[in-house]
Amino acid sequence: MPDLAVDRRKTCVITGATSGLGFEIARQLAAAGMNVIGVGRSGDTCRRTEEDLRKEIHGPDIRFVSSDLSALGSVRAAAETVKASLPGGRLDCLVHNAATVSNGYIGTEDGYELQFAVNYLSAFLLTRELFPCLSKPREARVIAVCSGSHRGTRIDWDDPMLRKSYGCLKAYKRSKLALVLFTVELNRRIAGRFPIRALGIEPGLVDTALGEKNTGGVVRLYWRLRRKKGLPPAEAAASVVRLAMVPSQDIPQDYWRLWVPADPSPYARRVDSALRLWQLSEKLCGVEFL
Amino acid sequence: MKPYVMITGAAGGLGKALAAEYAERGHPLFLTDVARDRLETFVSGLERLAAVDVVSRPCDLADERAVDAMWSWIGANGFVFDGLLNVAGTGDSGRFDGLDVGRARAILRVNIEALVTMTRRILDHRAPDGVLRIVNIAGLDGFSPMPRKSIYAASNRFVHDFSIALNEEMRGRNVSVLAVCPAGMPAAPARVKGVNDCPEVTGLQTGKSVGWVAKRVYEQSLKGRAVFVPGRLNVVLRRLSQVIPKGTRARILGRRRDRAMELMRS
Repeated sequence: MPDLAVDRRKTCVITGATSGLGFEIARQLAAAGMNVIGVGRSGDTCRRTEEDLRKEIHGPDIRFVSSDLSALGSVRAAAETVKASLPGGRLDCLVHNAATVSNGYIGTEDGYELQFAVNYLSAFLLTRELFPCLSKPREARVIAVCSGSHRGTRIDWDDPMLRKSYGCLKAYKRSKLALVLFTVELNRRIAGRFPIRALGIEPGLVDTALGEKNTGGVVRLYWRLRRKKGLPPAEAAASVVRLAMVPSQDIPQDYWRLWVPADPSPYARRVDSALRLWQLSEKLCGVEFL
Repeated sequence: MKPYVMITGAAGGLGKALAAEYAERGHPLFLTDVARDRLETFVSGLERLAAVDVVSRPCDLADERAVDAMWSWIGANGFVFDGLLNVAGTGDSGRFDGLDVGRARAILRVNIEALVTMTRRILDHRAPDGVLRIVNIAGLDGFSPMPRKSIYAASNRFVHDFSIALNEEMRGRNVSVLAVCPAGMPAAPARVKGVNDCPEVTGLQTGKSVGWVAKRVYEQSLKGRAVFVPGRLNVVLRRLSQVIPKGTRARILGRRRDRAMELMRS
């Protein structure tokens, strides 16, 4: 845990905060004194997690908001609830951690592919909806929990959500690539205009149940065996917490692999791809953003 | 007026994938589903995704009067069609003597009566001087009698035979009828969980992705085929089903289903 003085007015929103890596990020940030708003899918789990964290950590304000991040309407509703809870409407940090995998193609209620919607599009829309709040503090961060699996993949612009050629891991990798492209493009658009910085971080392999929830057969078995080699969530979370809390001048790069500065794949740094994805995301969400 | 493609059950897994496929290929769509909210949300997303005209109207196909009212509205507004995709369907699961009579009737009304009504009505509202392509989702279950899913499987058999007969009857009249016979498709979180936790029920191997199926349904319909079984393994299963006596098949499938339900309970 970084030893940092925390401004008690600071608030961080973390998606996917009821289990695994997201829970640890929320717990550590709250333990460091930051107000925390966690976002989780199940209302019951959100209530339970909120109670547990409040019992464990005294001082900062800890709240949980339930939202189905696969549905754009639910993302918007969550943003409204979050805004209403922010003291002075000010948000200091937004951590996009929520992720899902599914070994079957699932169309969300909006008709988009589930992994693309949860792992990427919800992050785009939530950032857009909370952007006015992120613009209020002297400096704010948007941190995307990315994945090294984005390397070696490209967006198929004829079928960006893989409706016709769905594969569980393929869709996961593409959604994470989209998240990296988003981070790069967001920085390009806000540089010099807003006191906000977008950061991407690869936590590496983490020992969570992510790959077991909506999978079966070989994929589930593979994940069960593989996760044992992963970092404990608390250890991986410490890197994210550090990025959320250290002064901006101490973060020399925008992309990290745990504690180490890294570069996203060459494709993820392509301006044309990032721009195209941004325009597609605006269209899919029915919004304009920056 | 440019002809529309009508899709029933449009807010379900396969319905959404088919709507996306047809929209991407530039077909104006007329979508209907029993779930009003789900239909509206999906249509909003689809309109953002594809630049085609989408008209939607919620309708409970189990309600004869609602179906008639929808067709009156269609007639009054002058819609014409060059495609009908009968996707809406519902099913039973469990012992027949535990099934509510009202529920049993509703299955027959949606899977058989409504499908026949929609197919008959679309012929009166087809676009002049064009081909009308009808697609009926029959399901792989229709090839064998299935204990614990007896009504659903039998209704699929009806759809299968009705489609093939109608396709033949309409030969040379610019109408094609395609019977699509997919295995269970994991298209919703609960369904994916069911398949993952209990591969005995539908099988990880037989279930194809709805998007994959939708693309091929479009292509097969364009070719004017009569029957389409998605997936090679499913083609083999269908052929096997034709050489094993029906009674034997029913016994095997009944035992398999009992075992699967036990697994699910445990």
